[in-house]
Amino acid sequence: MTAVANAVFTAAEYNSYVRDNLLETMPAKATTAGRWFVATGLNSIAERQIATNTVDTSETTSSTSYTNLTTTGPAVTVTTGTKAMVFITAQMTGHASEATVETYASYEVSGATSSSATDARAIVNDVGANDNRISVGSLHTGLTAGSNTFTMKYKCGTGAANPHTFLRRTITVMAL
Amino acid sequence: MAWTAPMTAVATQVWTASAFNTHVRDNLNETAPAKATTDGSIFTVTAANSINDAPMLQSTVAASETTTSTTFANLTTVGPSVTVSVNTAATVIFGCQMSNSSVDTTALMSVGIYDVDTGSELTAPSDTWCQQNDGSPANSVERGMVAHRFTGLTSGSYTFQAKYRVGAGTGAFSERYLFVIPA
Repeated sequence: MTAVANAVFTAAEYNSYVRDNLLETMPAKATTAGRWFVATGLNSIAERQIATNTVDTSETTSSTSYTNLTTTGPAVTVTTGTKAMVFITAQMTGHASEATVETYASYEVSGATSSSATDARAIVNDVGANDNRISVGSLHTGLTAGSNTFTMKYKCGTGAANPHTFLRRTITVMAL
Repeated sequence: MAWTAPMTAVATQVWTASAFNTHVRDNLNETAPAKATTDGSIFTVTAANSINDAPMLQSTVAASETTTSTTFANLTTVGPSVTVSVNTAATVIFGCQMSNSSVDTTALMSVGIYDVDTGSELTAPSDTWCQQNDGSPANSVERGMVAHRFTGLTSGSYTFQAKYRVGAGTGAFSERYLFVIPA
């Protein structure tokens, strides 16, 4: 509201324009240390989580389509709007006899959103039996707002007949 | 002053200066515009009903330098490093262009956490959160990045600094960067 000289400021106006607006601010909505705030639309904000998970175990697959390893994940579940920043990291090794066959790590989304792992957001290693550790970051858009689980998935390139190795696997999701 | 749940006004109730100061002035002083200090900062939660302005900072070192150290160590030009205030966690994004003079031999970059005043190591760099290139052939160059979130921190100011090592041979590192999201 815009105040006018000599107008009575009513309790109802205080409740609408002061109390209720203050209840839409960050300190009113802040609950947990380590979280941050994002805009969710016009005049609306939400507290969001940044979550990370790691699986250090060295495991293998020879699957040429995205799959879980013996230890599924890592995975995180966060409440998001329609976007999230996702960083995946893995140390990956191909096979000495398959020097030109790639090794891939990506992620899928489940829960409110259903989105399969794709090469478009994958880490790719193409150095035979040598192992590199790097990350890939994505601004994931088109999510369905709500509780979403982000899970790393793994595969080998076309022609793989031997197991490729994955370890020190980490996913970090910054919910937006 | 801390946040106070805004009072609910009642018709004909006297609206006192004290009530204004507690429920309007002090609460407005806890909101983002009151806390904002630095362009490009984000707002993070420090506790229930409490936020702060948290700058994101980056450091870079372009110079190509080498090491033969098999344990994490500084290069001739130390860093990059960033000193930043965090709450309970920090997301660090770092990377460089790296190679190794020997075939099938690793070059690694990682990040440690150091005391701002004494420089003492609080969290050592680790292979667990490193960028690694396992060169094949020798001197093959790769440029990449790693994202790592440090959790369980005690609220305060820390220096995040990159360090380097090799499995063997001579590692070369250039275009080194590190930035910290204090959340």
